[in-house]
Amino acid sequence: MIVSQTPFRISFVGGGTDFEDFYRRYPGRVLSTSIDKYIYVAVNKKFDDRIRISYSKTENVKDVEEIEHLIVKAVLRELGIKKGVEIVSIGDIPGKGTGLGSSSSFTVGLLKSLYSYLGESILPGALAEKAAEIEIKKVGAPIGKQDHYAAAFGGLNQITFNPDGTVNVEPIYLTPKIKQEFQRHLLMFYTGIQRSSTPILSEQKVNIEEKVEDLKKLSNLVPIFRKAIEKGNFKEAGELLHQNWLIKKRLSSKISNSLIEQMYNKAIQAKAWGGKILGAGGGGFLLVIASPENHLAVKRALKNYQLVSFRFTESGSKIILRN
Amino acid sequence: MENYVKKFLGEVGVNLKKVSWREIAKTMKILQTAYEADGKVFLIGNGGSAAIASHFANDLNKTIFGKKGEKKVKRFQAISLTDNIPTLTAWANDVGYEYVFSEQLKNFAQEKDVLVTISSSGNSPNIIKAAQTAKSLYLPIIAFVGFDGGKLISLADAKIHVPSNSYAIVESCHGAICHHIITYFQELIE
Repeated sequence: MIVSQTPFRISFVGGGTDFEDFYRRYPGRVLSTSIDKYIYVAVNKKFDDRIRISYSKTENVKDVEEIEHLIVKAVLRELGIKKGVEIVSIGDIPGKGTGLGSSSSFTVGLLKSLYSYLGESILPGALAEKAAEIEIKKVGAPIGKQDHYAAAFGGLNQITFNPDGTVNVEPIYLTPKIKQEFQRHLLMFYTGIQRSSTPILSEQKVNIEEKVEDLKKLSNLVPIFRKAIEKGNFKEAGELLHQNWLIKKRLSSKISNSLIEQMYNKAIQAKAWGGKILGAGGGGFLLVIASPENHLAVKRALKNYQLVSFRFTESGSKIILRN
Repeated sequence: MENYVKKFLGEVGVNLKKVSWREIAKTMKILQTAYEADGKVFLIGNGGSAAIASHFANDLNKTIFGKKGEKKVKRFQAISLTDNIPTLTAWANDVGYEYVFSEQLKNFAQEKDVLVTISSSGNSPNIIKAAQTAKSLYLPIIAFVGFDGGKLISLADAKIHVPSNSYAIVESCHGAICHHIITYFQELIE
């Protein structure tokens, strides 16, 4: 059996600039980190010739074409695996609609495990590109490709999407003190809403043409945010995150809603410097940057929502068991 | 005499400053990925570099965690393949010195592990062989090298290259950099 471990990510600034319709005309940039929440994908040869897939539901089929899970179907087709395999996925966080890039982490982890199953290894860049191609081109998901890169590489990175289609992943190295301080300023709350990102991102994708100027602003915030965290100036980072959120909300009418606005405003009233909904929006997790001395006030203001602790990590998708 | 001593101290300083900080940061990142996944860190070297391998393994295993008291903290799992004399001499005597590290790797290595190679010339046959074995097992490779980096530098994912032709300078710089990596993890891991 083979088991891969693939991290989820939190994205700070630049989300939305990783769509091809945008980065073909202006470099897209995002800044994100992998966190210690993972999806595990186990793959094993099946005793008989059938295909069994276990996720939030279980499928047991005779032929690849009968598979309902679109990503699994596309990946098995792509790798030419036709029968006799079992695939099981287990995540640390609900599988869908939390804004932590879970579907892309799953695609990356599934590919990582299946390449290993076929006796091959794949480098992070090729893994990310293949996963993005499967989800965007084969499955037709209206998403960008930042999450595939975040999951395949791991760590805190500035990811640049160049107009020629190439991607640069630049690790952001922080001193131990700044890295700990950065984490000490962050709080993450679960909105309780699990949503599909598809309608939000579909609208966002259609809007790219008229939102180009906003997207350029988001892309340009990335190097500024990076400088702020490298200096350890988290007040500035918080204010930039706030700017990012104000622009991001304009990309689609579905990114924010009354509950999210209420949560966000409560956090700001409790003296948070800034925040954002992680991922596409509409629900999932709210990330807040606030001075540690105000954390108690922020937690009180958002006491009805689950606080989820996390740590930054360095690992990208990797095989943790092979026997 | 003063100048004689100061010349050496100066050369160590000059060569240390020539080492890429990014490659050292990358080395820290790679070591951390093994730590996070409960992977092992294998270390290898010959002669003085064997001593550095053993010393670095000790610091990864003990020094980082030595002052944390009874607090339960996940630890590094570093194994210096230079330390088991019966195993090392068995491979050397029965098969060849070239195989002393590569064959030990085959006992222990898993994909989530890391190999740290230390070779001033970057050309020691047993180190190159072990790096090739590690590559075939998909382990990331960290290389501490000197001189022109030798064959080893092209096999490595992180390249700590001290561009001097003196063993004394190269090994001194390697030792200092290892200590800085240990300091990093002492500060990072609470």
